[in-house]
Amino acid sequence: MNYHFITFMVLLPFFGALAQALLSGAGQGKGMISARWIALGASVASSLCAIALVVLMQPGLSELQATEVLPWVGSYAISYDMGIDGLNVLLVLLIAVVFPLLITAEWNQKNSVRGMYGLLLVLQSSLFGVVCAQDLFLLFFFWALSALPFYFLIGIWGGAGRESAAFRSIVAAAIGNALLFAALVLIYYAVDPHTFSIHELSGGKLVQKTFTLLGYDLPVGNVAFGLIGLGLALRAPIWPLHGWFTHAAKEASSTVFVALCIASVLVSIYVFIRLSYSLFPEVVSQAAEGILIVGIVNLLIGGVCAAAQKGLRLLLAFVCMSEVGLILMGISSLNPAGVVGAVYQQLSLGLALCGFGLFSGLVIERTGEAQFLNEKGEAGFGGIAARAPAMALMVGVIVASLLGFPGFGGFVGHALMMIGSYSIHPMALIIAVSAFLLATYYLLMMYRHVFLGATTGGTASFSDLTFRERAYLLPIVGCLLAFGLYPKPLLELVRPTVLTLLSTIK
Amino acid sequence: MTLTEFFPSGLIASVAFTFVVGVAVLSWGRKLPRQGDWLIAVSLLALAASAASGLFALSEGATQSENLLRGWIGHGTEAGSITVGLLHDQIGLTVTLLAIVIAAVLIGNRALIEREPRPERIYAACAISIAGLALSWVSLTSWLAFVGMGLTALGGFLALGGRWDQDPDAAVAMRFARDRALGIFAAISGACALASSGSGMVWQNSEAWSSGMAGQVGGTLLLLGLVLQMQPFPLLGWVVMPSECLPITRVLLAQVFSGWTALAVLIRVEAQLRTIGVFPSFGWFAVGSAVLAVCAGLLQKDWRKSLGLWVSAAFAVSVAGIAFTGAAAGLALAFRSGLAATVLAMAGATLVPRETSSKQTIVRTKWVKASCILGAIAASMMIGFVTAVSSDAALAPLFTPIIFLLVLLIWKITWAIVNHYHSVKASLAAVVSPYLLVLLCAGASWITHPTWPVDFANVANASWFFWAAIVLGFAVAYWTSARKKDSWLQLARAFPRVSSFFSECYWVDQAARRGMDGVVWLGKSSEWLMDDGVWGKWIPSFSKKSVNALGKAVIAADEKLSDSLEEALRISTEVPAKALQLVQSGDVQWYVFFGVGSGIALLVHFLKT
Repeated sequence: MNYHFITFMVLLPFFGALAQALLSGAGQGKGMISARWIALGASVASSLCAIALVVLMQPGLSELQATEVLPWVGSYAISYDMGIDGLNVLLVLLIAVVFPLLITAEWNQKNSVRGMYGLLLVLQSSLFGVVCAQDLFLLFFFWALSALPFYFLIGIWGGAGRESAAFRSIVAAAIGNALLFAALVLIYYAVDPHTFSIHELSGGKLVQKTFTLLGYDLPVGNVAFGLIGLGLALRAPIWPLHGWFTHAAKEASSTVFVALCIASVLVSIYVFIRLSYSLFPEVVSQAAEGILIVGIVNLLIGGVCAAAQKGLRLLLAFVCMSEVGLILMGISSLNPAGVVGAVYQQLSLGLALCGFGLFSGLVIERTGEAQFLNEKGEAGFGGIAARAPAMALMVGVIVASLLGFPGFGGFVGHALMMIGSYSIHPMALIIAVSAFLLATYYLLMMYRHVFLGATTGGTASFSDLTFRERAYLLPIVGCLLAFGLYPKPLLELVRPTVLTLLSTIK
Repeated sequence: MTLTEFFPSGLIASVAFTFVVGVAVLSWGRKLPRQGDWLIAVSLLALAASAASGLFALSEGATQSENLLRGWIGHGTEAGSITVGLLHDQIGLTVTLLAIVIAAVLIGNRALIEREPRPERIYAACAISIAGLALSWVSLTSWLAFVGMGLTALGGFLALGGRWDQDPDAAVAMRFARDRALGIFAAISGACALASSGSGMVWQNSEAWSSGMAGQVGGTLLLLGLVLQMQPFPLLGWVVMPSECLPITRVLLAQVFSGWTALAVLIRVEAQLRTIGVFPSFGWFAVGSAVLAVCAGLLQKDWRKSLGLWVSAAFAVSVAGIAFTGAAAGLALAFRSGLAATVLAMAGATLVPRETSSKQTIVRTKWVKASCILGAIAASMMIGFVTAVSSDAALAPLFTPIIFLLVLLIWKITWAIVNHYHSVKASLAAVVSPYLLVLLCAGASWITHPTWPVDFANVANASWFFWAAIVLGFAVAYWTSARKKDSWLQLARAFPRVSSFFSECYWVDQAARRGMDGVVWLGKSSEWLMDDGVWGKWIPSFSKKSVNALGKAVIAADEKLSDSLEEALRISTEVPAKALQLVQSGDVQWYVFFGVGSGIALLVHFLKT
């Protein structure tokens, strides 16, 4: 039964954002309190719809569920076409879990609260829209919309160099979106009758379609795949197009950077899987080795750069880059285990990045710095475990999940991707093992310098997590443990869709 | 419900309960009465009861069985899926019981544990390690065993990190965790490679693994990971790092339990590993590692470090035993050496005077020292190992010198303990505990009996080489260490640099640090090149210059075009204007223009024709 959960899920945060705009005198006192509660209420209500949607999903089905189709711009065959299946269900869950937590993390924000909450809500709305959209134009609409809040979120609430970071992020997003849009237009005109519907375009409809440019006949599938890949690579931090991402890591607030990691990185990967597997199955099989190489480069360079970091924020950025490489390896395997692992890893990686990012925000808030080692390699701050045991325990779980220890969320994705990758590219496993070993070095080194050892001056008065901080870190830790120990229900939602998509790839 | 039916769920519940209790004691142990040791004891009792009930059911005629086999990640029936389950067999349950008894002996020695600033961490470490070890030994598949390995590593980390707030101890604990993580990831990767080729990872389905590349790579990585869990060379660095933690927690919780946990997987997949032929190279590696560890141990100034290196060497020899002869040899040596090292560590820890106590009295010192000597005797009498190895005469030249080295080092350590401490006030529990462990040591051969019967009749037939090596090891140790001056220490003082090379485990750590410095440099360079250089400076600067140059060029062209247009306009308007001006001023009559124009038109017409 369709309760229009998707529409509610998309619209509720948007109405919340509108309410923020209409609130009067929210700078002080009651206005600020109203702004907080309205934001949290809208976000939680939207998330509850999303969770209900996931819970009501029927396992074992590969088709889209809870579909909602309405004509939007009839003359161009653009429709409001939404649905949920195995590919996007975990991202819906991730966004539903993370955004209320981000709003809670910004509870004590003093600077233009309405603006920040409004933008976060617009972002939540647009991300739900991107992951559920089954119409290319609609997908592009939400995808382009999701880029805009970051310009303001970084530019207003960022650090000293926020303007340039915001400018770089919007330029990268604009170029990426332009490439994506060009691909969509190409696809639209390649089929007759013209359509933006992913469902109608899937199943090899673009095979052998060509278009003429400067007198040359070019295959639509290959060119569109290249444009989409390049456009999304700009928004997911794929080496060497990642410069704006690390710049944003330095300047954005921790909450905004977490949102950026989820919106830009994980949703980009989802869009890539959705479009490439559905629209260009033949091109994907030809390009699998190229995707693998991009993944390996990201994995290794991200890992090597992470090992060089002495600050929490850049460490997070490079960990994210490295993990993206691993996910690309899973995608390129074109094998059920590898692709299911890649889809699952988006959820566990998103949660772990969220936990790590929020933890770095807490440390920066308390100590005023993000560097755990100075340039000489001396401890910037340490011994936090003695002062904040609850924080040490929770971050321990997050680090264990990032590393992929058995029993934690990260293990499921890592193991499946390795199983999937090995059968196609044996060397990929060896490279992945090297990257894991490197990750073991830099993440445990960070943990040792931040939490263990003697307490330094900066952490002498470090306090443990407050009730509010526990309230937003505990769900993340709980999910990482639950999804690591019992992943079966979620995997059973993902698997049928992946198998169906893979069956179209020769 | 019969005992056999109840066993799997009872066992898994008690393992989970032990783990949860460990975490609870770690979190709130300081606020609990007696730091929660009673809670740990209750959980261990529950686990022991479950294991004992399983053994009882087996003794009553129940057959070895697979239980609760199901898919954890993926469907259990498909190739490449990750399955879990419990194995109901004698060896797994016996080892679980043995580990529980040892942990109980440690927990019962409360006076010793209370020397640690945070005793609740040691209690928690005990519970978590036991949960991990039990899980590993009763696991039906490698995947659940990896969870067990992770838990045991966590227990070791907690035990070493009793003083987390001090930099040296924090460094040791983290180094230990990192080394264990390396082993676990290598093993998991190997298992993934094997799973990808469709090889079953369920012990009972002992079909041969793929002989192709997946089998080779997977088997090698799996074996590498398991061997790394047993702390061979070059992962000895943390053993020789300075630490204030008690020798017993260091040896038992960090070293012995970690090694025994890995052993569970190693002996279960021994047959498959043998089919893919990866054992010989690892066997030789283990032999080399054992020799290097013993050499490093002989030149240590602190007996605690020597003992850690001895455990590492003994475990390496166990691996070599499994590689060259079979599981019986490895198991016999690993259990005996682990127990003997625990005896020495416990007795040694008892003999170390308390820093806080100013009134040391000579109480029961001789009894504790006697337990040390008994522990060394137990370590030297490697009956099961010798018997198993003796079955192949060709192995005598290989193992005889190694046994000599092991015996030499254990007796050197024993003499160091016995000669170093003279006054100690020990509780009755502290005195009795090592004896209990010695008794267990005596029965260590029995542990291997359920699955790999040791033929005691062969003991007498074992090559006299081995017995000679044991006697010679004892004699040399006595001659070099038991007398007034320790010859090894004198040797170390005479050759400080060479001795430092050996005692710091061949400067592997320094080399590794250099290697990591190289990686860090590479990372910094890459970041500088891409973030600061290409995207931060060069591309923006190039873009700016390009846009500026293009803009200037366009402006210049525009100006030039405007000028030309202006000029053209000027000319095109000036000429007729001048002509009209001339006509208007009367200087030129209009008909003259008409005549000239008609003349030109006629001329052009006739010229064309």
